[in-house]
Amino acid sequence: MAIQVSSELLDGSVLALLATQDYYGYALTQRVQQSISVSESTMYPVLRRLKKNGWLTTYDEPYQGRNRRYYQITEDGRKQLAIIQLEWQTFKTGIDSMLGDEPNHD
Amino acid sequence: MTNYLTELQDSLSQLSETDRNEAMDFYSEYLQDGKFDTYAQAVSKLGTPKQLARKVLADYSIRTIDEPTHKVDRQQESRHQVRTIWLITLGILSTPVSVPLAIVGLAILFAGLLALTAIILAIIVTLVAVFISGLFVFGIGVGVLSMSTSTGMLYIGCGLAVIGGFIMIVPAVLWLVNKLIHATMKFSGWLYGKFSRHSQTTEGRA
Repeated sequence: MAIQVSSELLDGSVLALLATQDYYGYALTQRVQQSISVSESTMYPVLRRLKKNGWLTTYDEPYQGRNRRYYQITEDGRKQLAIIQLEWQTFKTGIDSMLGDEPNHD
Repeated sequence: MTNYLTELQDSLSQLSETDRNEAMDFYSEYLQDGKFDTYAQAVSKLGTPKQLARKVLADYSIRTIDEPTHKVDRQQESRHQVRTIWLITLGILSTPVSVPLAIVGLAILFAGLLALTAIILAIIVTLVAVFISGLFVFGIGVGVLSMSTSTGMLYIGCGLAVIGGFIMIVPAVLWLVNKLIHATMKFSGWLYGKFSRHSQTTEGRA
């Protein structure tokens, strides 16, 4: 059974991706799925939550006669990302100190 | 694909127009960008329109639990909360989890709802019984009045006191019932969170 990804970590991961470039919905989902296993319908609630907290904004760009909605990180979003990164480092170090960061090959 | 989106829109009819359009825009763009042109492809990616709609609705409901409710009258609020519990139940049903887990989740929710219904019924029955006994004692008092004024007065007084107490306690009980329903809703929301998080990892990558 896989380890569950909490919503805080999903928020952090999406903010971290948006900190490097703007994404549109499908591309962002694809990018997240390259790294972790999440279902297709996971991203919409995450993006909604981030937007509601003011951590990202959206803008539309025309593409092949329709609109594409891009997501862009805000200043507050960058602050939040720093907080989550710090919490994750603490958490990761704590788990690593017990579990180790390399699989055992005894 | 057009059919898929039409069905999705129909299933999201409970949302406000703004929320519905937002969700529709996201998923129609998603299907176009992913080049999922046929109905079957859309289903294989996102599940059936109904399943997807339930997830979206459950997500909106869980958000609204934590948001302060507008000034609505209590009955309306209760009705809204009961509907939310129902939506979350559907949400649990539509998340693809292993069957035993789903059964456990629903059993817990069902037990909770059953307990809630039982408590509310018990409260109502008790109140009605108190009210009737008050009337009854009052009636005895009136009957006895001609034989013994003091005894009659005593009974009438007791009867009126019980009825008065009943009238005072009704708003408090209504408040309590409302709180109970709200607590059940919060609980079912929490339960849904547990299940949807679980299903995120059990649902394979296509």
